[in-house]
Amino acid sequence: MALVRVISSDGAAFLVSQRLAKRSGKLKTEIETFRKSSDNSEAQPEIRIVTIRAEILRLVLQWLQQHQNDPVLPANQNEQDGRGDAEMGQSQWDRDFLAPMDLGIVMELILAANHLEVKGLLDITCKLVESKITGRTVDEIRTAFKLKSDFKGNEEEQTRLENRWCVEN
Amino acid sequence: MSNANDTGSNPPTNPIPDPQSTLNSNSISNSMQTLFEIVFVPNNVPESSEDLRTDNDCAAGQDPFGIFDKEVLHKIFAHVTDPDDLKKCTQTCTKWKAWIEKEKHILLLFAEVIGHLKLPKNDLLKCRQVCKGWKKCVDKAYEKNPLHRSYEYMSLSKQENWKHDGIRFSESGQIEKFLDEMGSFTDNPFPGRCIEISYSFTNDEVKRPEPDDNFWPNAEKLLERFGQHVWYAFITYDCGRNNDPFATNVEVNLRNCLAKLPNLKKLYLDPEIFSSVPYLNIDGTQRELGVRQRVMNYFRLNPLEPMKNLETLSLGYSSANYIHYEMLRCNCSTLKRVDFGKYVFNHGFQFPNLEEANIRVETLNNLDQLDCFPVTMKKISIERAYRSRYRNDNPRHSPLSQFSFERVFRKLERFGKTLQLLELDVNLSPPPSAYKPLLPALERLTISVHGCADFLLELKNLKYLVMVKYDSNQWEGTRVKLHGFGNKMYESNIWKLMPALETLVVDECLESRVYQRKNLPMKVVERPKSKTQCVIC
Repeated sequence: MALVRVISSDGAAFLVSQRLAKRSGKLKTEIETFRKSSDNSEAQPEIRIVTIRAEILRLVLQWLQQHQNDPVLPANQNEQDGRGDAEMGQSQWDRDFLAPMDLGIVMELILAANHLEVKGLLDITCKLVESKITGRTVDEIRTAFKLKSDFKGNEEEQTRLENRWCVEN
Repeated sequence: MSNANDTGSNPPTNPIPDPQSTLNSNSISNSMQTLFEIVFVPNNVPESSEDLRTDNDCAAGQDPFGIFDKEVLHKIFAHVTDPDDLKKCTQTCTKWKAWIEKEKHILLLFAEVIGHLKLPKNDLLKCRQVCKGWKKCVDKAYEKNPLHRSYEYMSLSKQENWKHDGIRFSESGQIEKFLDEMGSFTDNPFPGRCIEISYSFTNDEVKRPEPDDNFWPNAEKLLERFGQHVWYAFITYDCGRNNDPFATNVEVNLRNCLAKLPNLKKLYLDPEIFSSVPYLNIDGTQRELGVRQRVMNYFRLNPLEPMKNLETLSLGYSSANYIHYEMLRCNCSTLKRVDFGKYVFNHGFQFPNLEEANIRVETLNNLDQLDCFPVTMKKISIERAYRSRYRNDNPRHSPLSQFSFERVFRKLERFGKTLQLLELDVNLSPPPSAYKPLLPALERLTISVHGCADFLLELKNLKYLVMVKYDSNQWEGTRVKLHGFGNKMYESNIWKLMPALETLVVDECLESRVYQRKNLPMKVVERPKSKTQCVIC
């Protein structure tokens, strides 16, 4: 089985089958570039991902493994934002996968999925973060994201007034 | 082992430990072993950002900030709410990096993630109220990618009048209320930095019994105070066919408003001025012969100042007038995108930085407008102009003239190296069968073809083809055989003859059908091999 070594920003190396790695658009491109530039067809590619730490990279690979037989979502599924329909790809496994995660980890997964071009993972993680905002009150959003208001004086009221002029009825 | 690194940083030099022990020491579940194998995790991989604090380059004594305890750092960074500033701070030393990434983790992530979220406008606005940092994140995202920008991937002619999501000011009382509510606030009050100033003497929304005397003075007050924050402005002015005294001030009002928008990047300017109606002078005593002449005289004496940041301009759909001319004259050197609207541009200004233009043509001579554009144009949209009293149901009011296919394309060839998008909404003559257009960079084309369409096969990079008013009978003699609609379209040889083609849009009278190469069934109807096909495939 052809393998590829994927190294995280903090130096963790993951030995992954090339078939699995190619589910990521970014890794696929890197492997193909390596193949073109390498004289030795047996050589094992090594790809360093400097923006993704080991914990997150492991989760991405875990998700890819679970979805290795899914059809690959086209890159231009939605011309405006490049995202597909998360509902289509979300399974019970996905829900269980994301459920215990802290929202910070989910947001790191969004960035990782975007960097590695894993459309399905990008969709479901974005959907999860959106669900913590849409239809919630400001206080509920603060609670969900563990944030505190740092507005001083009438700054918050000022922001509320600005929003009122811009809000859609 | 060779590298296919995406950076130039060196790989770790630590000895590679036993993979199994590494798995255990890093809490990777056993089930993961079946997924992929972790062959190396260095022992100094930080479990949390706390571990970075002992880094030598930030040791107390060398680092002037090392003396600060957590409480002081909290107080310092309470004032740093801009995610960009925080990111810069993380680059100063590992101690600050670790502290910021721990304490402001969600804020830093939200700044990067927000661009990927699809949130309704009201929810996005609500995020502004969560904390100062989120407010800045939302504002930056909103400014960078407001609703009207989402139309920019289309050509200018399809942008539906550049819909926007800013605040719309259309009455003097409304402006007064806004200024009152903003109190002494001086910071940017416009989420998305977008506003519309829309004066209409009479329209469907506002049935004014009398002119709104205070509208323009109040608009000037508004812009005096907040105009520097505006990046995107939509200014419409319709003085109606009534004898609106404000028409006497149209040029002064517009000039004053534009002067108070120094940071404008994009302007939709749609001032409707009727020349046939007599107007009162500013002092209300006399009638002018024609407002257009007066506007021209005013701007000759009081020319507009160039707007150094203005890159995008749409002249709307009002009748061409001297305000349009003046805007183009003073900004032609900076503009990158222009929708000339009804304005047939023939004054000879050069637009050295123009990349995208939408022009209207009535005759072939109007295509001379293209001579003022640089050869590096990327998008061109050409629309037919109608007579001013065009009626759909009158056969005599059909598009004015048929344009020679070859002359239009020859005119466009000077942009051949860079032109990526071309929309032709004009009545073209049948293409000559031997003609080969030289537009090698063209990726998107919208066209209505009557006659032989073999010229399409010369557009080797064409990825997106829109066939307007498609009628298979009109493609007689063309090598491309379109078999029909639905799945049959995938049996057509266009996918083979045009290997770069990804999307085919067949635009009929009432609907558009979109076909994408990715849906091409595995079983493709084979054509008998011909010499020509071999060359193309």
